[in-house]
Parts: sequence; C-alpha cells; structure tokens
Amino acid sequence: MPRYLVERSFPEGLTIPIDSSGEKLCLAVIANNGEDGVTWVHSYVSDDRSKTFCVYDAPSPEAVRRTAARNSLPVDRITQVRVLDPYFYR
Amino acid sequence: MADATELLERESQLSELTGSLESARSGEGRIALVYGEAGIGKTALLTQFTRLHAREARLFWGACDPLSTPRPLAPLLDIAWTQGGQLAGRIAAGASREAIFQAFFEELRLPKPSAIVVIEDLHWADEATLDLVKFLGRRAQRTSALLVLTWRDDGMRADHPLRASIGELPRQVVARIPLRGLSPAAVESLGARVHRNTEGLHAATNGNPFFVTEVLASDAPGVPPTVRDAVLARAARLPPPARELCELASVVPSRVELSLLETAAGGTFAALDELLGSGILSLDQGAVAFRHELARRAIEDTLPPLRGRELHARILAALHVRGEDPAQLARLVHHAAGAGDAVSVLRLAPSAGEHASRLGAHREAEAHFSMALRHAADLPPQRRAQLLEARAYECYLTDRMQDGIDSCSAARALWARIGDRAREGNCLCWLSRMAWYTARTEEAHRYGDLAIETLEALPPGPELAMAWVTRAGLYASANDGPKAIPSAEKALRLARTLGNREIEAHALNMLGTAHIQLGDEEGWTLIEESLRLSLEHGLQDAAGRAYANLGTLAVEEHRHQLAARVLDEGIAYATERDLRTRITCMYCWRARLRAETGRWTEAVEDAAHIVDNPGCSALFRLAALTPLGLLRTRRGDPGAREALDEALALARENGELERMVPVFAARAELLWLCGDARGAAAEASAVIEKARKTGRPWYVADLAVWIWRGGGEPPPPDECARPVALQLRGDWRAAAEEFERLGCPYQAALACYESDDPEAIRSALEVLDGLEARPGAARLRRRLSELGVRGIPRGPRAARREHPFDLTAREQEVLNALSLGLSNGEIAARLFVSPKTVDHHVSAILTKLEVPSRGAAVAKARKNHLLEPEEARAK
Repeated sequence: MPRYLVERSFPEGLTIPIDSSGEKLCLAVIANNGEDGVTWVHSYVSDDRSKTFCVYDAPSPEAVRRTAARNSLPVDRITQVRVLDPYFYR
Repeated sequence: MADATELLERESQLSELTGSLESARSGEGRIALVYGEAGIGKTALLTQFTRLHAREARLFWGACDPLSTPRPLAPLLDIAWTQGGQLAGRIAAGASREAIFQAFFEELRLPKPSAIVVIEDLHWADEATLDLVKFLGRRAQRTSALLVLTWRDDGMRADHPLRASIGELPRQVVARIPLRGLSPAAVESLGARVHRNTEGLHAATNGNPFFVTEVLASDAPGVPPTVRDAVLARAARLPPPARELCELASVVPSRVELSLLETAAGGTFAALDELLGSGILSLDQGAVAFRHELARRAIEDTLPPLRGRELHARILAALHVRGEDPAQLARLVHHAAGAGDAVSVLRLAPSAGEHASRLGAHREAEAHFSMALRHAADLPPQRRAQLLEARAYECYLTDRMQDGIDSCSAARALWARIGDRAREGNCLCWLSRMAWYTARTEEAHRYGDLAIETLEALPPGPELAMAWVTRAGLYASANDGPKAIPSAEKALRLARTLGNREIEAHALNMLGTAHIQLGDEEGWTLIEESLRLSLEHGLQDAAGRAYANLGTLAVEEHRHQLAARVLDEGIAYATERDLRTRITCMYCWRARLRAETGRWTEAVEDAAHIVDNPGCSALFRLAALTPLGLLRTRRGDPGAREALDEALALARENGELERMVPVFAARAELLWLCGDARGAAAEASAVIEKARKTGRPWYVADLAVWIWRGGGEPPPPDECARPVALQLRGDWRAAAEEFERLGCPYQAALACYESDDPEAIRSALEVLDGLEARPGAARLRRRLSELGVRGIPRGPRAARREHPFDLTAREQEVLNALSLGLSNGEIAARLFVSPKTVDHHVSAILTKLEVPSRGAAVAKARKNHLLEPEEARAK
C-alpha cells in the first residue's frame, strides 16, 4: 500500500487533549480511517502546533482526503513518499 | 444470531442506539450502523435493544440469507411475512420493486409509534436489498424511524458492493456503532458464573463473545484452537438422534421452519427437545436456528459429501411438498444443487433467474443461469444456447463483459451447429457490443460486419435491424456521423416496418447522437424522442442507453445544466433497475461533469466508485481514470501521472477520440502545471489533427488551448469552442466570462493567467485557493510576482474543512453575508472585492445548494446548519 505524507495547517494551533476525550477522539479517527482502509502511522507536530506532517498508509490520495473530511481535518498537500535509509540502494 | 443470554460491556452502544431512537421519535429519522466480526454480538445487542423498546416502537426485522445465491429482497420478504398487510399484498401480487419499496416506506412514515427497522447481515445482501438500503437511507431523515443495518466486517473485500451502498448514506443521520471484543475482566466474569477457570481464554478468543460462550459451554479441557473446534466439541456430546437432527438442520442456511424440519426429519424429529436443550439451536417464532451462523457452518462443513447430498435431498423434497412459491425459488435451487440433483436444478434455476431478473437483481439472475449451465451437459443444444444467451444478457447488464463474451461465443457456436443463422447473427451483434466495452474496438467492428453479412442473407427481421443499430453505434462512437446516419436510418425504417419499438428507440438514439456530433441541433430532439419512447414502453436497456448518450453528449458540448439533470435522472433510473453497465457509464460522465464545474469532492467520489472496482470494463476504467487523473493534476495530488498513463494506454487501444481527447488534454495540463509548457504543446499536438477532422469545436478547443499556451501553432480560433476562441484571440477577460457563464470556475480562473491585470489575477487566485487547486494557484502567484505585485496572499486564508455542500471558504462568507440581508454592493465592500465577483459567488452558491433564489439559499442554509460556527457544523 502506498505511503503518504500529509501536511496540514492549524492557524489557531492544534489542541491535543491528553485526557480521555483525546483518547476517544483518537479512536474515532482510527475507526473513520478504517472505513477507507487508511492507516495513520504517526505525525510530526511543529513546536507552535500550527502545522502537522502526518504519515499515512492509504490506498489512494482520494482515500486520504475522504478520511480527512470525515475527521474534519484540513489538507494542504499530499505527497507520496518512501523510506530512505542506508539500505535504500540494496 | 446468538441469543442474548446476557449482555456485557455494551452499555455505550445501547445508549447510542437509544439516542438515535430518541431523535427518530422527534421526527428526525436516523440510521445506525452496527458492525464487527462474526460472533461479536450484533444480534444479541439488537435483541436486547429492541426488547427494551418493544412497547414504544413498531419493530420490523429482516435478515439477508447465506444461500449460494441469495433470494432477492430476502429481508423485506421476512418483514412482509411477519407483518402481512399491504406490503405482503404487493409482493404477492408481483408488484414492481419501486412499488414494493414505496409501500414499505409509507408504512414507516406512519408517525406513531416510531418504527425500528433492523436489516441484518448485509454482507450477504443481494443487489435489490442494497438498493432498498439506499432507497430508505436517502429518505430516512423524513421519517420517525430508526434504520439499523448490521454486517460482518471481517474478511469483507475492498470492492464489496456494500461499502459503496454504505458510503452513499447521508452522513448527517448516520451513527456508526462498531462492536469490539470483550475485555479480559468480562471474560473472567463469564467464566466465574459457570465456575470455570478462564486462563488463556481471552487471548485465544480475542474476547469474541460467541467463541467465549461456546468454550464455556463445552466441557472439553483447555481452550480449543478455533471457534469451530469449540462448536464441534459441544455437538459431539449429543446423543445420535439429536446429532442427526442437528446435521439435517445444518444444511438449511439461517433458519429452518419447524414444519419443514418435521417433514424432512421423519422419526428423528422427536429428538428436537433434546437438541434445543443442548443450547446449540434455539426456537424462535416457529423456526429453529443455530445460535450462530458460525456454528451451522461448522457442523455443515464436517458432513461427509454423500451425507450432505442426502440431507439436501431430504430438505428439497420437503420444500416441494409445500409447493413452488417464486419467492422460494432461490432456496429450492440451493438445495437442489446441494443434493447434486441436476434435473431439479435445470428445472428450477432458469425460473429463479428469470424471477431475479424481473426484480432487478441481475447479478443473482446471472448466478442462477450459471448454476443451470453447470448442470446442462445433457441438455439439447438449442436449450443450452438459450441459457447461454440469457446469462450473456445478464452479464452485459451488470458490466461483466468478458463473461458475457464467453457465454455469447459458446451460444453462437451452438446456433451455428444447429444451423439457426438468425440467432447466430444476433449473437454476433451482442459480441460486437460487448467487445466494444472491453476497449477492443477493432474486434467490435469485425463482429458487427460479420453480423450484417450473416443477417443480410436472410429475410429482413429484428436481428438485422439490431445489427444496423450496432453498426451505427460503432460509427457514432468513432465520431463518424456521415457513416453512422445511413445505418441508423436503415435500422429505423426496418424497426418501424416490423413495429419493433425497442429497436426503433435504439435507432433514434444512434441517429440523434450522429446528428449532434455533426453540430445539428435536431439530434437532441431525436434522443429525447428515443428516451420518451423507451420510458413509455418500459424498455430498460434502451432507456438506459438514451440517458447515457444524452448525458455524455451534454457533457461534451458543455451543456452542463442539461447534463446534470439527465445524469442524475439516468443514474436513479438505472439504479432502480440494477442496470450496472449504465450506472457505471453515467458515473464516469458525471465525474467529468463535476470536475469541469468545480464540484471536485463529488467528482472524485463518482470516479473512485469505478476505479476502485477492479471488475469493471476497460472502457469505464478509462472513462473514470481520466477525470480522476485530471483532478489529481488540478489538486496537485500524487498519482496523477500514473492514472493518466494507464488511461493513455487504454485510450490507445480504444482509439476513439471521445476518449483520446480528454486524456491528451489532461496530460498537457499536467505538464503545463509542472512548468513544461513545450511538453504540454507537444502532448496536445499529438491528436489535434484527428480532432480537427471531427469538426467538433470542444475537441479542438480542449487541445488548442495547451498548444497555444505552450507556444505551439494552434488551429484557427474559428474551429474552437467560444471561450477558447476568445483566449486564442487574446481576449482573456471575455474568455473568463464565457467560462464563468458555462459554470466552469477553474477554467475561468486559469484564463486570467494570460492577463496583466493584478486585480483580475487576485480574484482568480481566490477562486483557485477555494478549490484547493494548488498547482494552478502557484502559477498565478508566480504571475503576480512577475507583474511586480507585492503582498501576494500566501495561501488559502484558513485551513479549509470539507464543506457539506462543497462551498469554498469565500462562498461560505458570502452566504453568511446573504443571511444578514446584505446587497451585493454591501457584501463587496465588506469582503474587499468587486460586486461582480460577489455576483459570481452568489450564482455558485445557488448552483451548489440547488436553489433558485437568494432567499431560498438562506432558508436551506439555516435548515442544514450552515450558518452556525464551523466547529459545530463539523461535528
């Protein structure tokens, strides 16, 4: 399955609740993603929390956009990526 | 399927269901989706839920069945059977699907008390049931009913048709209730109740409630490795007569009526009490059922083959005693096949196929004809050829062209052997049509020619008329009007002489198509006439084809309003009748329409429907990949080139300009947006001469604009459709206005690229940002900076969330202002844009909300909570 890097902007800053409501939110996101066969691998968040760089495994960029809509998350740019590591050329 | 002994850890799901029921009761109908792996407790949850609300709600409960070929509308038949009344009456009278759905809907609409409709096990649903789900789903909000849909999601394929049906349900009324396994604590408490040690049980069962209770109910030491082993361990303890009865019941999917079981079982029926006492089966409303379908399958799968056949034969005989109700045909076929009784299969399956086909369950019809064919080795060749033709036709309707071609070729060979030239010619026509859908255009022409050659040697009949229709269709697809028209006219004359309305409708359609392609307005009237005739006489294939051609041509000619109306109507018509081939075709063209008119989210949904379905015909894959590739191009998403490369390979094979031009135009746009202007010109030039030969202004225009932008030698502006002709003459402003008038916001904005008026480019940039057209917006930004403009807005002002009606952020702002009763001038002042820009936004809003006036737009916005803060709306 292709891997994508999804850039998102949060002009007002992303709020990340660390209590049970955050957990619930996370589970809802995972369930929504599951509908389209999308897996959220992990995200990098900028220090000011205005941008996130999220790594996803998904069948297509459309699936990424569809789940973003369902989760009410913005999308700036989707890039298909692969891992570059010291064994890339083997 | 499991009975609800006690429910653990399902409080939150119960309260969610109760909440949905409350909304339904207040007049806002709801849909709850309950899904999880087999044995997770879907039925148990719903049994408990409906028991709690039995007094305040009317309950309708139906399930899909796991027959090799499901009965069409099985759940609704269940419901009618238990309810009686008008619904049962209509079904018994053989009413159309639409009438049956409508009768059920009317029943649900009765205001008090609220209705709870449970449709279980949709992973086994037949086509007609999925359409029922869509039908009810679209209307649910207007009732005071709660519709509960359940399915197993383990092992469900990505292209399972249920996914698409669920995806089409209106999101705002849907509650998703996934079920997961029990916690270790819950498993332990279940064990404690029967004084059993539950060590390792949670890990082995993943907390699956059915598995856990099966293990706890069997006295076997340790935990069996699979749920199947647990079931078998429990059944192994039954005394022989009960065991025998259990095996007999296991060959009947879902549930078996007591009377049926009694007839089939004879003496062993006396063991029923013992069997029920074991808890493996339970009794419910005059029928017995296994606690779970998993248990039934576990028992059935261990039957030795001969024993299985014998049991099926006993059930079949018992069913025969009750007479052959058409609604039971699928059941009879299932057991006849299980009994290896070829004679009964051959007698029953074709009728089951015809019955399913009449109900618009064409996939099931195809399965029944295939089943008959598997047992048809000893049939006379004529009968076998007829079955092959019947199967081929169902394949054609359901977009399984290669299977259709295989059947039709076999039928043709049989007719040739029998010496029936007319039937052989008829098969050749069908082979031609189906080959065309698989993008094998040359083969299609070869079959078409052969059909005419074969049939012209015979006295003129309907087969020959249809062969001329086929040939006219092939020429029309190649945009060769002068050749298409004489064939279509011959077909029309012969059809009228023969009094054959169906062929007349097809011929009118082809004639109209050819005339439109030649720029002759009269063509539209001819296709409308074909459509009217088809609808009037209930000619489904002809009507589907008329809708599809009218829609296609309207999109090509940029008559967007006509296209939207025809395609929406056509998709509804074809969906109602399960004409998969037509539905697919119209989805492709609606995707393109929506790509042109700025409704990108919806366009992608339409295209993804097709592209995600690996089984669809090559031609449809091509027709869907093109708008998908174009939209990825315009949004700057990955995979644009890949989609367009695949489309190009298919388009080359097909060779028809109707498909080549959009692929080459999209590829040119991709290159231009990547900064390769010359490459864009070269790409578009590759087919420009062929496009000019057709004389179709939009074909020429779609390519010419990239040749011109890329600095190549474009064709004369006169050959291009109006907005591009204006562009080529250097009048970008008039071009943009013309695109705007046609409802093409993206192209209107991009036309401003050639402008040197910073204000115009700024407005255009706003449109592209609103559409999230990142690459195009980047080009406009570069253009602004070339013009020395400072303070260029850096990007979409705020991260846009997907809007329920696909309004851009700016359009939403204008809508908010409209709700305050402001005039265009006042809105313009408030938003720092020109009144003309506001005017454009307002017309876009009216289109997207599908309303005639500003007042109606505000009313609709209020109703749909569009004027509330975005956070609240996003939910």
